[in-house]
Amino acid sequence: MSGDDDRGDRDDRGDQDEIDELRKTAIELGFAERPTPESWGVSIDPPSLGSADDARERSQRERSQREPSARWQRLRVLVSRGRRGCLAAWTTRWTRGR
Amino acid sequence: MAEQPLLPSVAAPVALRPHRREACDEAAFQRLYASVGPDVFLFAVRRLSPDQAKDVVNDTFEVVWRKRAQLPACSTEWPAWVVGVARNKIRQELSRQRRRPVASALDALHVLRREDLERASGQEVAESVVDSLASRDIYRRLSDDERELFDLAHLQCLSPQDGARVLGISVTAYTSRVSRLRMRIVSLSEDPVGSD
Repeated sequence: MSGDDDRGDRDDRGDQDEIDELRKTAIELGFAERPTPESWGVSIDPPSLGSADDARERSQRERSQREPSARWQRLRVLVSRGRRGCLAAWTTRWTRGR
Repeated sequence: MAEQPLLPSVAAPVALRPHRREACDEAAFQRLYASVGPDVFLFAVRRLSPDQAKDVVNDTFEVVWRKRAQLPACSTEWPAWVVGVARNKIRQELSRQRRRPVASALDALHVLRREDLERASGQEVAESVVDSLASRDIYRRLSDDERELFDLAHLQCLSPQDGARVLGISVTAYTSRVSRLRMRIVSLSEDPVGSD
């Protein structure tokens, strides 16, 4: 039984060695060793619980601040594709508030 | 002559006894976020933008909190479960990007401009903590599956067994893929022009 356990441990070490080897090679090729959110210019704040609703609301608020709304995205695509028929239909739906 | 019992009356081994389910209360959730949150960000950020990666972290942990009753019984298995949720969120975001060619093109342009700026200035922004230009070029030439495996293998919170579980494959298959991926990035680094 202990022999099996030893072999299992050796296999686990071998599996981890493969992962470590990939990480080592990646660092040698110029990948960052351990990039953090801060190194990408972003901080991830711990969620304040009460709170799934708060987190969702905060996430949506942040997203809407930096992205045009889905409607404007769609409009931009239609314009870029020059699809006048679709654009007209979309505009009609939008002005009707649907 | 006394009858022999059909089964030996030995106590069940400890390992076979059912685990007591560990509850994910608020404190446990905060600890999980602190330990796995940065890894979820890292899992997403090379394939998305930093802001989108932050959204993936928020969305993932929102799901984790909402579905905390479905977390595995043993807390050592929670990181793999969380990364599995993040994997789905990243896939959703990537497919959303493919449906928004204009926005994606603008994102690509943004990246290009940043790299041009770095080249022009002769130094790379925050190079010691962020990938070099050469490595970003290697990463860009990997397939979607290779990128996902690369990112997964870099998560400190996962063991090889966890990584295999996230991808739904055996540990042997997982480590074989990792080994092939290592050879692939080496071969890409030897061909920086990128014929593929």
